[in-house]
Amino acid sequence: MAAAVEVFAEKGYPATTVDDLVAAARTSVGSFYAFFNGKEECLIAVYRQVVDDAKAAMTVAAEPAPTWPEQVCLGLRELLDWVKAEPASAKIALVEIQTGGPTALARYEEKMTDAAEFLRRGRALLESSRRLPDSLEQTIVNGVAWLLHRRLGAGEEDSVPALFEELGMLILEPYLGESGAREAVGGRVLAPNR
Amino acid sequence: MSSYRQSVPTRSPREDDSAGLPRLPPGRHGLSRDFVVRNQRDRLAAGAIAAVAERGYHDASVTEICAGAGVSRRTFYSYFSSKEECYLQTFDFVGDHLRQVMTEAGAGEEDWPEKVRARLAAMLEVFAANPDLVRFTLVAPLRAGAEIVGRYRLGLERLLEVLAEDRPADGSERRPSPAIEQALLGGMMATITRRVENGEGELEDLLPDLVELFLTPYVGRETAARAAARSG
Repeated sequence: MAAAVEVFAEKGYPATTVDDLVAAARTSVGSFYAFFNGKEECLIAVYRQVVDDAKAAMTVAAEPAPTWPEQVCLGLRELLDWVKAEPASAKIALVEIQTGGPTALARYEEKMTDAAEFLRRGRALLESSRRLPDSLEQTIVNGVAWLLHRRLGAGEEDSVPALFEELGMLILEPYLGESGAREAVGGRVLAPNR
Repeated sequence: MSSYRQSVPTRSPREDDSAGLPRLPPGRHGLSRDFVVRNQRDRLAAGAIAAVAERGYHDASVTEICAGAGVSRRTFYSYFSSKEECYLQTFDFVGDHLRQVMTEAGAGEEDWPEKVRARLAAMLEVFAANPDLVRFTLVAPLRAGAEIVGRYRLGLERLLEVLAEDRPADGSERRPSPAIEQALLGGMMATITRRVENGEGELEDLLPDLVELFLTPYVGRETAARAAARSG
């Protein structure tokens, strides 16, 4: 699995062959096909593993926080640190999976929908009179993914953790307003105004 | 997917394959060379858009593009050295068209938020009239891999220039960083894509959402929501 992550991230999924994967894992074509139907199935298995790992790390980081804005901030920080620390895995999760065919794409979109659902919980903090665009969370989640996609594609993963404040503002401002979002991102969370 | 590639050569180009454009009659037809060239290029663009929208970038073949355009492979290779070159030129062609339509739409408005609303409305109108353009310009690049994604990235940067044009520089407005601007635009394109791919609702109904989403980091959520409400 670890070998497959490196190969897909290095060569890009479209250019990767089963022979490449077999050579990197020092195994045989026969045992590859004992595990996977083909390279798409291998990509999806690798994707599932790297996303589960990242998600587990984000949950561990965010769960102790008492409020939703703090959870968002801690989870975001963990995500950005993960992209810098594990660029090959991040590439699988954000870039290569999208090139993998219809099944791979469906897996990717499920995960993006999960992330959007988590953000949607922030709507509980809104005053009842305020309505947010229905597609807000989908747009934000995909926007963050695209920004990370760009940075990974350019080999600029080291710059990713520095995006924390700006991305925190982008995510939280619709729910908390400008000053509320600034407080949350700066680590001082105001009681949500209901 | 690959079985399609094998089945294509047995199909002869027919009029109903030509992406809605009539074929030129064979032989001498009294048209100037310029017109024929223009016409062939437009038809090849239409053929590429139809083929890539249906099959995706990797699975669309030159043969299929030619069949859709109603031209020979020889003609194809007189304009483009490869499928990639054909894709990239057509992508730029669509992008130029989109930016021109958006610029014109914004020209009639006074305030910047209103200009943004008019430009986004024009963009959605183009996409709604031809959903294949969404599949060709927004869906295909991210699925194609690095070589094509670079052009998509550039396309979004140029689109942002059109949207941001005439933004007041008097210091009263906030300015999100280029990174955030790119995130916003990429996210908006994903939302448009999802709407087209899932076939849920009219594309134009997204306008208030997109106006509010785009404007919030520049003018704050109150002003953004007011501009969005006017486009409902």
